[in-house]
Amino acid sequence: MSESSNYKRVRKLTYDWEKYFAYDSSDTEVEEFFSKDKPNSAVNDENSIFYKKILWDVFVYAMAVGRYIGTPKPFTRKTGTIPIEFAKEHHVVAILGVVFSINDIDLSILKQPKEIRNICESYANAGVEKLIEFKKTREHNNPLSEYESEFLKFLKQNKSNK
Amino acid sequence: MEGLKISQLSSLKVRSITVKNFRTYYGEKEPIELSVDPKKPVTVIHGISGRGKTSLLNAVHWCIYGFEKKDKNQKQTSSEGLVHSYLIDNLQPGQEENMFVRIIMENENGEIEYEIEREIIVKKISSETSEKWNEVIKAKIPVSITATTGAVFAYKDPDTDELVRISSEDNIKDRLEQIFPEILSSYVLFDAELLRQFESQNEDVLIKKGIETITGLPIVDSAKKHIEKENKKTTSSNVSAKAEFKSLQGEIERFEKEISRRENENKTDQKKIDEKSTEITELTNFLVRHDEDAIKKNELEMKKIREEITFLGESTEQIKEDMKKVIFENLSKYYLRDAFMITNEKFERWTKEGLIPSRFTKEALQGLLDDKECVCERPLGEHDEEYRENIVNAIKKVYEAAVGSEIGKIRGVIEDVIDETGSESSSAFEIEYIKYQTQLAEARTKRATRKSELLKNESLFETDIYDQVGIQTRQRKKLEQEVDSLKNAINSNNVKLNVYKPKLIEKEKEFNKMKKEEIKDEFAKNKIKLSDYAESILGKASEKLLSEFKTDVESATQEYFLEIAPQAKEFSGIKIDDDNFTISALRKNGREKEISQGQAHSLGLSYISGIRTITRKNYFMMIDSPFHNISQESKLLACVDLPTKMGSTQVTFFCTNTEYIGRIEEDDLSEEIDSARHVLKKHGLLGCEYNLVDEVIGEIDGEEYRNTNVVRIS
Repeated sequence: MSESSNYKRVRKLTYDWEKYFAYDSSDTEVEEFFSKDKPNSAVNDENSIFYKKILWDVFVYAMAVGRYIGTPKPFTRKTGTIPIEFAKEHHVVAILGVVFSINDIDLSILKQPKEIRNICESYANAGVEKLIEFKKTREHNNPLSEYESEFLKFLKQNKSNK
Repeated sequence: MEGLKISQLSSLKVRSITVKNFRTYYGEKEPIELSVDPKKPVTVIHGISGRGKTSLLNAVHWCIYGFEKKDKNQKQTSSEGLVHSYLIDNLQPGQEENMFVRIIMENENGEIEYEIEREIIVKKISSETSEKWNEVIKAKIPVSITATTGAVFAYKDPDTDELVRISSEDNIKDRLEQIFPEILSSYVLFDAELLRQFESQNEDVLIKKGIETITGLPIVDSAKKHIEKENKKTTSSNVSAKAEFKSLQGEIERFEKEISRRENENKTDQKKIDEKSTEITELTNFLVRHDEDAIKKNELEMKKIREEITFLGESTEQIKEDMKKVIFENLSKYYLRDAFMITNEKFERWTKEGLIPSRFTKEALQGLLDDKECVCERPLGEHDEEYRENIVNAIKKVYEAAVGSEIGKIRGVIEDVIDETGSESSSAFEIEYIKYQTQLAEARTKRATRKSELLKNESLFETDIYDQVGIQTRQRKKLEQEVDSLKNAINSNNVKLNVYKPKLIEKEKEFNKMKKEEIKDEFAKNKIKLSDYAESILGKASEKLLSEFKTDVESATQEYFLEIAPQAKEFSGIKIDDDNFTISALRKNGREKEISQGQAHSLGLSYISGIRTITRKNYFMMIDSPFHNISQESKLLACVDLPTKMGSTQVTFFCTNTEYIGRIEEDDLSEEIDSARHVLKKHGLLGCEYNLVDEVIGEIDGEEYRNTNVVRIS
């Protein structure tokens, strides 16, 4: 999904969505990970795969991992710091691709923007744990080691997947 | 002097060697009988490497001299010494065992001439297990084991023909020193791998001393000294009363002392000059390597390497960045793939069910307007304005059409993602990623290599190289000045010596004249006259003998060398240095050129053969690795020429199976070359042959103990 995608192209789908998406700010590790200011946050840590990326990249990655794991992790204390206006087309594609993949969800979800947000946040909250774990267990001389091994695992698995 | 030919000398041969518990030989072995047949003088003891060939040669050396050849360099950590370690490690408290080597030698008539037996008795006196270096056994063994040595020597009494046995260590040592001077071992028991030492100047003292000792010249010199002493005594007792005589005698002594002092000074100074010259050569080499051009060239080279390291570092970072990008852009797609596949199926179903407006609705309508063409490809003309307006209104009004269009876009992206994470794309990604990994590894290796090159260069050319060049230049200048001053000192001493030496001769003449005039006693007069004569004769004889022995050795060595050396026709002869007795081969074109390993081997063997022509007995010869490191051709020359040129000398070769049995098959590149064994047999020189084989005899704490057996082949 190219970062150059134009949000305007999908704006009609999101025009009435919540203005901010959130993460669990009661969890200090999660809060630090999503922070825009803290030096060790995902977007500020030089060794992070998200270094100099936007929070939507982190959120969507966390959501993708969470959806892959399969168990959403709802949370109550929410801090809305990820403005929807900065989401790009591929972020919206990922959100809708995840939301529609859930059993019993049909097109009517498009008219329940809060529900869309809740689903995405719950999966992102589950996935962010894994990303924090990746950060903790990364190799000293290869900060992307965990992402690399996941990537290679998928390549091997999928190349034989017709 | 007409030198005696080896075949005319009385010979000394080893009849048998018996070993018990010596190094790798466990238990008492059957006597190894060497060939004593003058027509078949060669015995070969062969085996694969590490089976105990050298140990056997060492056993003979130890038996004769009480120590092994390699003793000097032995490390004080080895747990394997002269006595078999299985015997040592199995010894029980109170138990006593022994190790011995016995050699029986015979003369040219086949009669026993000497019998030497040397032994070590080991006894375990306690169960203490701590270990310590044992000087007798030459190994680190438990302190609870004591070791004592003993020896018995028997020689044939020339009057009674019976064997006389002696066991006093001192007497044995004296006797053996007379029969086998230690220096002789270099020419009787030797390792052919060390033959090149004869070319080295470090061995000059050894070789010169060897020749003098073998020829018995020290006896002549000591006789001369003895006569000198007696002469002085007789003279002093007859003329001591006269003051003038005493003063003359004192003057002579002062001259002698002064000459000797200055000559010694010159010798010391010359040694210092040699050392300093070596240092100057090293400094010169350094300065040549580090002259301005070389430094600049190196600086450029280092700059290039540094740039390359920077470039490789940047490349590494770029590759890592590319890899990061590939992972970042694609990993999330793989995480989402399963969800997207479910979503895509739903989209398909909803489209079929008409729940999603056609994904092309909006685009289709817009397309009609943009292309001014109907779906049936009919152009929309001006009269179709009404339709056009309808279309515009439809686009504006129908929200579903817009949503449908956007869902359509999303569906398209989702389909792309599914496609991009399918098998074909994954294979392509994998190939691309492996390529990155390879590039990264290569860049890292290159960078590490260049970095180590840089470090190496930097250590050679340190940053303060100009300072170092300055220091070394000053140091060289200082040394050159010191050499000049030492040379001046030698010159000044030589000037004095040129004055003192004639003066000494003059004073000696005066003294002798006075001696003749003053000594009235006829008996003393005659005694002194005779002593003077003997002294002069012996002095000249000693010089002449040494020179003649050297000439004899030179001529015999040359004869052997020109016959056995590979490509002998390149050489006109050999030369033994007058001062240090080292040997060199002379090329026909007069050029000094490094000789090959095979030629050096032949030169060493020839020198040994040459030196042996002046020994008082025709001693047996035992050679370790005689065919090592020389060509197959030279090997064959050596194995035939050595025994035949040496008259009936008994020769024992210790060699590896390959050296002995190996042969070269005929092919396009070379002719067939026979094995040493076959050649010895063909020439009828082979008397006996033994093969050394080993077996495992036990195991303690996982460590295997091996025993060498000697198997007679023929």
